[in-house]
Amino acid sequence: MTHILRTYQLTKSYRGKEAVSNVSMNIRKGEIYGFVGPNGAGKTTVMKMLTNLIKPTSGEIEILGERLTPTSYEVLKRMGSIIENPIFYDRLTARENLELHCEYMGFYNRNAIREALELVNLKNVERKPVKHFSLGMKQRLGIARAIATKPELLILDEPINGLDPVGIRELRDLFVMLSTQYGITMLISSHILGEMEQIANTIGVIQGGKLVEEVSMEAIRGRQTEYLELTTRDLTKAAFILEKGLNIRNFRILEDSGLIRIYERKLPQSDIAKALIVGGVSVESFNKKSHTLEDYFLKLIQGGEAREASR
Amino acid sequence: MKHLVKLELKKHSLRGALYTFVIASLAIFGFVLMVGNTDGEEAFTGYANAFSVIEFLTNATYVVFASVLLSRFVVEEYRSNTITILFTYPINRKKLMLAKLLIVCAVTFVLIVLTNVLVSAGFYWYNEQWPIFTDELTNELVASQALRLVVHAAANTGLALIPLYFGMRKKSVPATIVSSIIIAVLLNAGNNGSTLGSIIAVPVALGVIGILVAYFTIRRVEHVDV
Repeated sequence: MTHILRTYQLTKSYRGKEAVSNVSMNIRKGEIYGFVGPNGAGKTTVMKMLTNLIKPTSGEIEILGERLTPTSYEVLKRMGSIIENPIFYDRLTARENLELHCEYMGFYNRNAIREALELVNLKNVERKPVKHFSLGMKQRLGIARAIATKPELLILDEPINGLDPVGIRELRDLFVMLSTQYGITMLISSHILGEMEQIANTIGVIQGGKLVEEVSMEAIRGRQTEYLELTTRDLTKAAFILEKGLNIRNFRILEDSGLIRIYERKLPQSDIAKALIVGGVSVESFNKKSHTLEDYFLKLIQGGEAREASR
Repeated sequence: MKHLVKLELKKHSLRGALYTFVIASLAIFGFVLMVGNTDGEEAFTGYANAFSVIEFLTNATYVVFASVLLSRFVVEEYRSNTITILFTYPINRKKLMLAKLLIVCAVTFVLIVLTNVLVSAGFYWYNEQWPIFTDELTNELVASQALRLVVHAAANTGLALIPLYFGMRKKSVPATIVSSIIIAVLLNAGNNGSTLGSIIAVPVALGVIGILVAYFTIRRVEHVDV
């Protein structure tokens, strides 16, 4: 599969301090690349470098088959982006903003603006000045602007910030639709992992300016371990039955939350449940659980911090 | 370039410039008449003198006004970050910047000339009706005044770009406007027309500096982070 975007040892330093160091990321054609990391990790800095707003201190960027230089203007025609916050000419209306955008992009499809507004579900606001928009509406308008010209690569910095749960869901569907129907490659940053998990094909984790992991969602899913979670008041009794009665040793007791996590999977869930009930343990709930991306991510980041601290 | 200028004007309306033009013309006209009609010592010795007073008032006004335009078209775009939208377009950034500065220069130059001509003509008409002084307006004077006007207007348009240097350092609107006021005052303060600005070499030299400021601002635009 070909790559739409690659960076090689991308580094940006401000006054000798590296904000982004040696980031080498690879985004394949047609995929949704989830770019996750805590606040201040360097997500926006990387995205600004990709859109040529700031220049790398060292390293290279290759976008749509071309090396990005300070004078790469043509390639920008094939990209759409929101960087940091959705910014508009506030006094102009939504429609005027999009019209300006299309003019500057050299894109003259009369229906594009209406279609884009429909896609992000912004209705009856075309004639309203953008300064009266809420953050969620601006976010939608920003996405409408980025997709109006049907770019090949979309770079969206925190696009679901400021949206309500319904809005988040709508946009999630929109992103998946853009990816599958139009074949648009997307780089989406977020610190909301649950969302990324649902749409991304590949996850890049950045922390302290370093890309600590770049992994496909499939690989993450493969790595995940499932476990059973038992909620009960009789922790000791339950533990006794598990250990002596069922000969299960790989479990953990979380006393504070009244939980037992059972990692051993040689017995079916129903057998364990039966044994517990027969043994007189009052089972409040007994569920199958799996590690989420969040757990994986936190482990990565905390691991990173621990390493930093031990230095 | 024409297209870019048109798009800039869509974003930033020039209606304010029209108001400024009307109000500035009336104010300068009124001020000159007020000075001319003050009793006591004679305010103006003749047309040449009166026209030079009109000229420096006009220049000072539009040097400051140009800084307002610079703030709106350039500095404010950086401050509100809208420049980041502009710079993600597949258009040469130098051209984008040039379009902005061309608008500022064209508006400033045209308004300096128009205001000068209008107020001078108004003053001539007034003086013929209710004489402040008895001086004859010769063709020679009109011709030399016209030439002087164009040179000064061009020089002042150029030097009106100097505040861009101060404004762009910290992307500050106040810095832009305050520096323009300082320049306008330095050039046009003085008595009886003996100002720095009336020594033609001074505004012309500053005009060249202003154009250099614009040139370097445009040249830097591709290499500076926004």
